[in-house]
Amino acid sequence: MELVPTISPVRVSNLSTDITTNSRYRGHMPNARDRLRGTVELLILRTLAWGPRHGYAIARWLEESSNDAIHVEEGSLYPALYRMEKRNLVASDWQTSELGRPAKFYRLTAAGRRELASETTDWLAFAAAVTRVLKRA
Amino acid sequence: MPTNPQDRDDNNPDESRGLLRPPVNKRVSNELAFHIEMRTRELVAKGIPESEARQRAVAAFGDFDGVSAQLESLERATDRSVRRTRYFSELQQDVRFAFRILRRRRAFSVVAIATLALGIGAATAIYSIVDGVLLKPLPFADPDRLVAVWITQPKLASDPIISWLAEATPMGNEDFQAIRQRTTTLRDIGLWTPSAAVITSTNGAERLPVTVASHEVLTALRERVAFGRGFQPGDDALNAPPVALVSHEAWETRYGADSAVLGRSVSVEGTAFRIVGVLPAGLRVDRTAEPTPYWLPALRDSGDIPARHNRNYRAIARLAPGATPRGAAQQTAQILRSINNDTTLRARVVELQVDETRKARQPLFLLLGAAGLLMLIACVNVAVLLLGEGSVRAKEFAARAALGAGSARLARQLLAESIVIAFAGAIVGSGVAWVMMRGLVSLAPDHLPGIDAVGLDVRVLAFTISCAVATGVLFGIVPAVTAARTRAASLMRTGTGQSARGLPGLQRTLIGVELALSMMLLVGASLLARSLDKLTTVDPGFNADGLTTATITLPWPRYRADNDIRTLGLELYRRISALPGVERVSLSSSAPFVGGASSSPVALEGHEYRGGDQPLHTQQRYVLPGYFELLGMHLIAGRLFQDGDRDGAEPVAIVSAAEVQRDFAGRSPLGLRVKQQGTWRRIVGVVADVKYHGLAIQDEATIYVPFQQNPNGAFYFVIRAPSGVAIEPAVKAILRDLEPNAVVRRVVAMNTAVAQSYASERYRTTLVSAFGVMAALLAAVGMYGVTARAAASRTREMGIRLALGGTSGGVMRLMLREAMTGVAVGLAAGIPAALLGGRIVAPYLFDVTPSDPVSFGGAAGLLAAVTIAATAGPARRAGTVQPASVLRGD
Repeated sequence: MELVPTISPVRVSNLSTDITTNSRYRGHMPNARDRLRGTVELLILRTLAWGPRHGYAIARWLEESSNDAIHVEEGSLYPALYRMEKRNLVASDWQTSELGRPAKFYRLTAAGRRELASETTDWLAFAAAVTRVLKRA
Repeated sequence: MPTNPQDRDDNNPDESRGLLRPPVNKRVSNELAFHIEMRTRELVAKGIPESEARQRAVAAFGDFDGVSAQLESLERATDRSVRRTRYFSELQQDVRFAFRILRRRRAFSVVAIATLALGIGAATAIYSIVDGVLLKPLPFADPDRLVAVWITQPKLASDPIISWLAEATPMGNEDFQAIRQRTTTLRDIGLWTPSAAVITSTNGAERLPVTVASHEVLTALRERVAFGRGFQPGDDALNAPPVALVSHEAWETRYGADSAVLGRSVSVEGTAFRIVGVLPAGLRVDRTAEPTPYWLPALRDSGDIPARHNRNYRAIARLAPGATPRGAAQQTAQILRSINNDTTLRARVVELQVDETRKARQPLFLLLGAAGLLMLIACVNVAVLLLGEGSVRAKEFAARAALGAGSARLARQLLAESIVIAFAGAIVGSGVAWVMMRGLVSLAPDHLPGIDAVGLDVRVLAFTISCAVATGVLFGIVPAVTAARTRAASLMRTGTGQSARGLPGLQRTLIGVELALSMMLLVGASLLARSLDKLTTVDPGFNADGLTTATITLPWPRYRADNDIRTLGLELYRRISALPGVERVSLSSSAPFVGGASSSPVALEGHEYRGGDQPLHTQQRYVLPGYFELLGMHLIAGRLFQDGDRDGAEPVAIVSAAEVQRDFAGRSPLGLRVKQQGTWRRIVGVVADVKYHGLAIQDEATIYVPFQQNPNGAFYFVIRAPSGVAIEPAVKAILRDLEPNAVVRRVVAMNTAVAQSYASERYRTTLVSAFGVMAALLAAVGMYGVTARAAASRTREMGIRLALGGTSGGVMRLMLREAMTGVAVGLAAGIPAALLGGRIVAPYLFDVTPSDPVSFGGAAGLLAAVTIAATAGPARRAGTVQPASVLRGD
């Protein structure tokens, strides 16, 4: 399957805009912050694909699975979670944690699962395109 | 027991923990504290001292306070949107669930929906007609300034024969010219009248409706001709060159929409009228009829001009700016009094629409009231049914409350059911309204002004649907709230519906209200029905069975001379008599219930007329011998007309019993002479009275004159022939041969004509009776619902009564007595309501008093009977409860 789209500067910007999954910025050149936010959300979705987790566990999993290469600032993790909950990508409830007291657990919703699939495809296509450009240069 | 899946949805933690949920700021700080705690522990596990670990955990988090604030505001937004989404998804569930419940409780749903549909349908249909006829503005510019102007003569109100002139005397030329010159309150006053004329074209001679109008009429209507010109000053003058306007419709159908129609002529009563203009499409002054094909100028006829008392026209005008109808009426009355030297004259100036509907207005509002009452009864009935449903479902609600459904949630569920019912009722009701409206329009007896343009009124439909929904919501919510307040545990223990003790009281009150309203409607219906019954059994004084009348109009200029009329009349009589199948024939200048009445003052011999004393108006009829025998009229004294009563013999007359009563104080007038139309005639006979215009109209003083002595050009042939004899084509064939310019205007069975005379009475009686029967049915349904519920919820009590030695008859009696107490109270309350209803229908009653005991007794008896019938079933079931099974707790 050909994952690599034809490359043009516009296409690249479109792709990256999609990756932010932030419709408000659609059609504009995204700034670094949006791209980061989109990436964080994609990573969170991926993390939750394994099952419900609380915020701290999500942060830890991100650190560990990237060998600490991705260090999501905690101050941006939670707002991202809340925003995703509002968009119904994740849902939350309070469950008893390993500490024996209630903690807020997040889980993927059906919409979140769909988002994860489509964003992953996009991201991989984007990354492959960028990689090809970089290698050619 | 159906249970809403929503109650059990443990996937939705917010639902089950709704009330336990901590506030937003607490939730956020708990979550973040947990994070810091976990991070601290991780660091401690790596060997960092606790206090330092905590500091590093906080530092790693970043701007703790800023993030907290951000999270709180995000969380609030999420809460709102979640609540909204959940509300709608629950509402959807509620509605779906409601549909399921209603499908299961099919009988209840069908009855409730049918009840509402009936109420909505009836009210909307009638209101649509009221709106189309009475309320929708006339299709002219500024219709509220367009007025009808009438002369009124209050002094005539007491003369039965011409009392119709009292309220609305038409206008003559002199009245009109004087008003037009002197008025300051009216503009563009014009004369018009609906009429008919024999018009000869390639179609042969036809009698067609025409509008006769002066040149101001189009201006007053603020209308213009489509092309050509309208009437001008001078067209409507004595002996002016004859011109005509043609309607847009006739221009299309009769002239093929050819613009060369201008300048062509049309032959009207033998005179060629030049067509000068085509009227705008759909234009008509008289809304009770289709647009007339031709308009002819008024005041061209010599008969209109000099005679002050030839008042043939209606007048319309525009109110001058600032003028009021009242002011205009006063000024018009002054002008009329000054030119007529008659101080008793008054005038009436009234908005055209109000004027043309003045006879229809009250009866229509009566029907509207009846339909509104039915709608009210339907709403009360649905309320009763909903309350009953609520009480029987108390157990279900308790179970759902126990499963965690909040009271608001339960109320909303019930609301959803009520709304589903109301909307279903509304949808069905719209269909019912449409069907009823079409039916009412097609059955409408008199051609009501504007009825052909009646459409379903969307505003009214919306209003009646709102009423239905409001009823549903209001009375659907009462049991919900009651159920929600009930403590679940006690309900589960005691079984059905005992908690809802407050409801039967409200239900009984509503049933009482329903019965009272039904009583009002039924008494009204019964009064009208009895009145109609009395009316239709009135002896008209003749036997219409097997009789047909054929009305023939002669071309006027040709038949002016008595001899011509007499010759034609006798020849027609001879030829019609000779028709195969025709048994007997006679000729009169009028026929009862068909038409042709005329009257004139008749002077008595030897009576001195002085001062204000005038010869009184007497109905006059010119008849051939055999007329009385053919109609089966009774001879009271003297003799009937004979063949010898012809021209040249002594002028004779026969008078009616009412004439003897009025003018001869009841003494025999045989041999006395009266002066009628300038001729002294000897009275040779007295006949019994005959109804002419209506069965309810009191007998009129009448004089009969031999046709041969005074031929009259109005030909009403009365024909006895077996049904199946085609009279109309035969008479037409005779006319084609004898006088092609004469026209057969109408052929009608006399029985049909008599029935038509009370068609509007029958129409409104049928409608109000139908509403009354529906109301009684609804009351029965409501009563059945209440009693059945009561019986079901008291099974236990009845079982105990039976176990303690009560008989099943006793239990039945108890149930019936309780039901009947309610009925009695409702009916008692219905009496004053029904008295009011009787007062409202009083103007439409004939020979029945508004407080007619038969009607009251009948209505009360009917309601009692249907409610007893509705109660009996459940009561019997209560009486046959098996005590043992009840006591076992089944």
